[in-house]
Amino acid sequence: MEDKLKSLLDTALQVISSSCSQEELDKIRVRFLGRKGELTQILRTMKDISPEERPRIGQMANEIRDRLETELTSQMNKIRHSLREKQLEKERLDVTLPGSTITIGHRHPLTLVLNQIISIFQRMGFDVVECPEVEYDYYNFEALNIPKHHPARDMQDSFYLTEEILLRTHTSPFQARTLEQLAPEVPVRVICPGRCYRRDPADATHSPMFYQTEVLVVDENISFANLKYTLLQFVREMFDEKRQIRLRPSFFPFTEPSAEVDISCLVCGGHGCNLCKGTGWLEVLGCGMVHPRVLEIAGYNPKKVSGFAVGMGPDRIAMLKYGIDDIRLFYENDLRFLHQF
Amino acid sequence: MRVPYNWLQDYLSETLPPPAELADMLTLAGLEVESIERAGTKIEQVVAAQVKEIKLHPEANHLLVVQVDAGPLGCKQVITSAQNLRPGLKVPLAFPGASLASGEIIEATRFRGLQSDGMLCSASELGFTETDDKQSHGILVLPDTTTLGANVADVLDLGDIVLDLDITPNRADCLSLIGVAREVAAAMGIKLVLPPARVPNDYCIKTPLDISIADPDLCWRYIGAVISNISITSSPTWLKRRLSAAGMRPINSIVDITNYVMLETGQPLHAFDYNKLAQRKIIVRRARPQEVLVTLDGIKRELTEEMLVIADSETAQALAGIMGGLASEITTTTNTVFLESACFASTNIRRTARSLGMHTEASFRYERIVDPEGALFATQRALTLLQELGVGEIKAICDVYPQPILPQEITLNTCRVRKLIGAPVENEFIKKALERLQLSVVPANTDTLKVTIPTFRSDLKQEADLVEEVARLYGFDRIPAAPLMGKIQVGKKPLELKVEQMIKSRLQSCGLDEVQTYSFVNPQSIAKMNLAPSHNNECPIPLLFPLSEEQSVLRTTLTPSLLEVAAINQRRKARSINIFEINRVYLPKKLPLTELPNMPRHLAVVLAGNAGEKSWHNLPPQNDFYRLKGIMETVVDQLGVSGKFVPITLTYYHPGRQAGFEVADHIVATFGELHPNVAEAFGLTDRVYTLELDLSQILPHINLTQRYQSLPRFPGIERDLALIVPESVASAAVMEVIINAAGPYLADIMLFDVYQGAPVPTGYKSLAYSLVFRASDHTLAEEEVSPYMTAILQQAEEKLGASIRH
Ligand SMILES: [Zn+2]
Repeated sequence: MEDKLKSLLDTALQVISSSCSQEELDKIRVRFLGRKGELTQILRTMKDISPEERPRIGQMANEIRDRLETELTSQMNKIRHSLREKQLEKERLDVTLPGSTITIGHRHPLTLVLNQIISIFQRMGFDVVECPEVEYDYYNFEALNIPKHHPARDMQDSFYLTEEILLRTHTSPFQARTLEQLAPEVPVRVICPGRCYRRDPADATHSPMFYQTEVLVVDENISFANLKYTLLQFVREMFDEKRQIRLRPSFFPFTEPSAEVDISCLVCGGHGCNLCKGTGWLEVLGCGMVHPRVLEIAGYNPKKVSGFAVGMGPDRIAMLKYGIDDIRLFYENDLRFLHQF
Repeated sequence: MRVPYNWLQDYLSETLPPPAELADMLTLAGLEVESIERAGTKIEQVVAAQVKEIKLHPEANHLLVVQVDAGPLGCKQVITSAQNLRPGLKVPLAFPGASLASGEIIEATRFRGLQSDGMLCSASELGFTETDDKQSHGILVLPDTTTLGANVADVLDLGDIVLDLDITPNRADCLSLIGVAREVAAAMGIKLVLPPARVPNDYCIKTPLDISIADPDLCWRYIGAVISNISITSSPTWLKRRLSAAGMRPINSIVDITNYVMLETGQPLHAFDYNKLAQRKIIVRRARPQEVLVTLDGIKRELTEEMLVIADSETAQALAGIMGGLASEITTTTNTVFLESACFASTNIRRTARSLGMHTEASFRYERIVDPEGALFATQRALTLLQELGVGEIKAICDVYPQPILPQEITLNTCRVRKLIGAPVENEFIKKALERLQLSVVPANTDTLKVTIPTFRSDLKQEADLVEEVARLYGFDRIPAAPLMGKIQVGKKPLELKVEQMIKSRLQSCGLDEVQTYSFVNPQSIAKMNLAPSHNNECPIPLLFPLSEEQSVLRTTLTPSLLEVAAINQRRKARSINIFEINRVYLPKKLPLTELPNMPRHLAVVLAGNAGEKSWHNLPPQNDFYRLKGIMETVVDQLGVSGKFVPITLTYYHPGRQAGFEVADHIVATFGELHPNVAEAFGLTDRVYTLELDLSQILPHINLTQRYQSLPRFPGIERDLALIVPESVASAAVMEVIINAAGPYLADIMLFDVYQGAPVPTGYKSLAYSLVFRASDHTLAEEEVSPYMTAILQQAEEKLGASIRH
């Protein structure tokens, strides 16, 4: 009997190890361990052996059962593993094929730049306000110290709708409107973005419609040094930490002193190249200390408070930032252009 | 303003820095130099190179093969027949594309099989006509000190270096060489040297001239001088060269001198043929009604009573400050000249110049105010030049100056200067800086200066103007950067802008591209939309002087602009066009405008072609009415706006595929499939879907508060339900019936299938819903739900004629 059990074990182990499918293993289990299986068959003959032998043989049979169960499970795992391996091998893909096209929308580059400008100033504590695009001549010119026939009106040939109403030529009317509304309250820290219009036929650098963003600060003790600091913060956040700025005296009727602001060239860093026409500098915005007349017209006392104003063109900034060489691209809306942003 | 470098040097006591340095200095002083160029020479792209090696050409014994080194521009091989070369010499090398004095353009060529990368130039090729013999035939030899690769025009100082200045409109005083020199002198701290302007005293007002100013409000000063025995000739070379460099064409000695003095002093001068003036009279007056004048350019001008003229006893002879008349023009037969140096009111000149469309060097200066004190100096200077050049004899000078203009005085508080600039500028510096600008400064007390402004600086009107002058001379770059001080506050943003951003990012995640189109449109594009006559789109605001018909009215709707963008992209072969724009429209309250129009922000969406890109891996997703509606829904859901979709009948939509979105009894948005006629009118092929929403109208109904809802703790029961209803029954009606009958446990309902066709009978459709029932406090039992399912079926049958689909 002992021999029979041993031979059963040997046979079973051999069959198990040579099996190669789940079905086969199921059959093997039935054959050896099933209710009518070989092990049961052998145990049925237990009654033929001596009672002293029985416990030993019984234990031996149990061990064989356990051993076979373990082997069956491990063989089963082996088979599953190899089947999965085979399956995976069959599923090999050409990973160099392009991925599925995910259609995403794109923001207009001007919106991206505009949002960035607004966000930078908002983080510095500036409120965002809006002012009308269709504006009274008074706010667009007179209240900004640009009386009729002022030479500065030469710089802005405008789209008039009536004698007194026009499409604003800059966002500066917001200075007059905001100050008039807030006077004599301080501090004023506001930014006004929006569309502006000038009678310039469209070419690579001009557009009859463009964006502008105006920044205004009025408080006690505001100095040109404050203006410089604020600009530096803005320019370094907008472009990069390496940017230098240069202020050149200039003229705007509503600021005094006035300055044009250049940043060190984004391409050559200041050595001179085609973009900066060899100067190493790129003009980005205009600014100045709010003209005392503008403060006065709005109802502030220029002896008590002072302020600065900054006007910048998001179109120009976007062109510099993304290396766009034609302003018309912004308003043409070719999808091949828009999809680059 | 073109400023020839060498000419400018005439007015300064010290040697000017090199042109590039001078340009930087002027730019930082506020006179922006736009370019530095060389006028009067055509030489371009000719550089200095050194001879390295000379060999005989193997195929031609009169030719040499020369290797030259052009420094940073590299080594080149040149074939030449010149005999004066030896290694080490520095010579001019013209690259292919270079132009020589004659205007000839150099090309790369081959000489008997060998490449020549350019040409070595002789003196005559560079424009030198008078050179000594030994140089005339050979290659020009450059000084040993020449830098390799340097521009030869610079090395040889060919032509005139001209700085092109962009003068801001306030600095009328810098529209002259003397004005620019004054700025240079101030910036460098050197002296301004005025040119000789002496006229022997005995001429002055000896023979009185008949000059009268009839309109002294428009003419503040009028100086006339008479010069006889004129010989009209061509001007000397130096004068012609200077005029050309400054951008003016030399004409004859008299005209050239007037132009020269204008460039020098900024005072426009005009020369009349004295004998052509009736009764030799000068009357400065407004033009008479219907008066006409033929100006120097030969054009007959119809004048108005607003315009100022210079007339003789009979008729207008010149348009004051703008252009002379043809009748009294200087000709070769002119014997006696009347020279005018006057000061006119700038506003009037500007108005006249504009209305006649005449913009001359003179009007440009008068429009920006000419210094009344400078008029006499300019006359004296011109007469001095006339004498120097022997053009004629001075007969008389007469100065009419009814109301002399006095210098203004400004009080300057130096503490305020420091406070406004934000830098420790000392009183002494402030005083010196202003004096360098030729202002006279008298200290009143410790921190107060009395500053007298000369008449040529009429732009300095108040303290702030002087602060700028001090800051300029102090140097903007020396002013420190100082942070803003004060209370810290969060930067706020209006709700409308926040909402705009939210919608933009929502639409972007829907796969839509943002566009930006012009606010002005072609009225035709509105007509193409075939809008109903009652619609306010019918009356857009016109621009008074549009650039073109395409941009002649302000838009009242965004959709046409987007349709045009779609059409352009379709023509450029874009297959999926899914775009949106948020911008304002302009709705007049009344036309013509008497007040500002309403300018609400709109959102417009246009879908044309596929909803997305296709690839080898996926078919392109399709656009249809329901995608557009989905976009509409996601926008209003995000904003928490509740409203309902209602049927509308607009002519530009497909009659059966359009809807409105109604909030508080107002339709705030319409959308649908564009009517094929409209699509065709815009040149669009395929079906097009459009949406336009008035943001200003939904703004009051926006609810952005977000509250968390606790997650269900008990499982729900899911039931599917398919109903067959007549085709004409709206899905919304079915939904309403179900919800009303579903009882308190209905937690969710979704329509997951709409089907028509067998086995559903013709004229009917099947709508399949999945319903979820759930109680918040216990697990529902089937028995709790079944009665409601029965009720739903019963109600649907009664109210809609529905039957269940098995
Ligand atoms: Zn550069």
